[in-house]
Amino acid sequence: MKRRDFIKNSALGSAALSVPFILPSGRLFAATGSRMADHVVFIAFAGGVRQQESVLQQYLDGSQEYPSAGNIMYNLLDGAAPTDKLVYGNNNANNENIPIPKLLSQTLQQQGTLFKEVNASSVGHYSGVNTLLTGNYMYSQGLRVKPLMPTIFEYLRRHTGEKATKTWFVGNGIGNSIPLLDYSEHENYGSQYGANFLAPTITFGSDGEKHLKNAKIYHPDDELDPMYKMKYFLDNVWYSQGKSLPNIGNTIEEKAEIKQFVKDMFEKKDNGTIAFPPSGANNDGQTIGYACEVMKRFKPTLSVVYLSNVDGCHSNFTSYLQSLHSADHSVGHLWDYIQNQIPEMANNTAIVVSPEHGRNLEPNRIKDANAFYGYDHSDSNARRVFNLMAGPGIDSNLVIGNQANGVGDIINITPTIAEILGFKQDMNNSGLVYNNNSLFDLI
Amino acid sequence: MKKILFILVSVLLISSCVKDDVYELNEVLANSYNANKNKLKSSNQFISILHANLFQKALSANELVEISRCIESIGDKEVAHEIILSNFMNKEGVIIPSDSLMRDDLNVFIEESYKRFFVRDITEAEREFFLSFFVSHPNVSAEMVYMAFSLSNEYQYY
Repeated sequence: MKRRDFIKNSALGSAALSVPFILPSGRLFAATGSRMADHVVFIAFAGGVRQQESVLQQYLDGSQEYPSAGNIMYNLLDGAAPTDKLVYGNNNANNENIPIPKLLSQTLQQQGTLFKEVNASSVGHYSGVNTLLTGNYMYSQGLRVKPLMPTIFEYLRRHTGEKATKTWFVGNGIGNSIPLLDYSEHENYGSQYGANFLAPTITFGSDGEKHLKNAKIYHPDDELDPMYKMKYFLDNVWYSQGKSLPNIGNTIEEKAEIKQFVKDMFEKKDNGTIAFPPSGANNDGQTIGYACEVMKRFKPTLSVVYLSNVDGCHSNFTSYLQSLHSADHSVGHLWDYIQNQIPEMANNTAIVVSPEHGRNLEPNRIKDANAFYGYDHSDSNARRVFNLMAGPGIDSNLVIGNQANGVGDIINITPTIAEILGFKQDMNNSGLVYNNNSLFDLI
Repeated sequence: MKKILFILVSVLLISSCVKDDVYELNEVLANSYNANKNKLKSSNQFISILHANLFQKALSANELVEISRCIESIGDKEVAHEIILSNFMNKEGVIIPSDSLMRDDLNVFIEESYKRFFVRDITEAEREFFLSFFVSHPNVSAEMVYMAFSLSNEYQYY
């Protein structure tokens, strides 16, 4: 081969190799890792949970100096339920307290790996969930400000090219700045990689009934198309002034899907066919029901569900126990629903459960109707939580760490989700997470 | 000699004073192109102003809170606004010109729409776009135009 031909062919070959491969999703390169599962459901559980009433299974013995111990979270954890002084179930017509029947034949602990003693250095709700979703302790960040570091949603969408409707953040309300966690203000990430946030207890609650339910459905071709064309023109003119609005990047088709979803949910609600847990009357149960519907409709790659009813513990310990028991039931229902009602996600979904923080060792002075003291979240005991994960490729029946030997930190959650979905290395390469280790690295 | 010199200087001075041409413009009162909008409306401001624009009356405080909560409960604000807005359009009392009135004088209709929603005058380029758009889309209604303006990014600013 002549030297000139060799150089020409080599240059062409090099150029071909250096031209990025564009995926149908529009991104340039595939994520570098392989996936353990195609879907992850992360439950931020459930508004500040004491170790004593959860993994330590001390029930009233560890809180009210009453000698009754036992497991009130028997869908998530192994262990026998309390038998004395039952107050954690639902009251029936005769005012008897009846625990909710167990839903899962195998606990999530049996199906997966339990980290019994995990550190949570942040003991506020917003900062705790912020840490869970960003892999960073945001000590310098206040409430009512979007995360300063990228969220797991943004890492996922930026590094794997997922569509907006493949990432959902379902919260049980709009308090505590929770809606701000759908994306960060980080200059390299931001709204265009954000998640679709939904607070279904508001959207489909009394406010939504009044102001969202009766929405007109415009014809996509005859009405929406010209309407969007005019809006597009107006936005283009405005954009020439250098002003744009944060946009999480739902396409017109995705927006139409969401609008249809909202309409359908109101109909399902009227028909009584929302996938609520069998015993899911409180906000957490309602939230889980609509989260099931989101998953059924959109089959998200990543769903984050935030539950927070147990925060009533500040002033009502009995209601805290009931909420904890109910949250366990709701998560069991969600897992059961995925496995049995969503074929696309069954056996192809990993679940990760972590409280955002714990609660105090010592009670406050507020007594409830049962004369039980409440618990806040501010001391070192509030830094103690558990983590639980189950699904494809995750060791079953494995318990890591104990009270004397803690293993794990809530900053390991973000890398754990990234590892399951195959983009941990891409995320770590950004240099923006505090710790590169996932929970798998700590086993 | 002095007299001659004085006369010569005077003649030169007088002859050098030539009146320049003055070009005058008629003053036109016009709001600036973007009407100096540079602040994003809050959810409450957006809803209050939108309601006032569509119904020509203020929204009650309770409804304002409820609607703001609804908007906050949906992450994609464009979707949230569209649902809220289309809900407004389904209510009684919304004040929109009839389609025949709109088609009677498209020029006036679009000028007034710019003033009503954007609080500024239309530019000639914008007028040109809308007039030809209305010709090529004969079924476009006043409601659809109002929807487009209400959902536009410029309407989010003040």
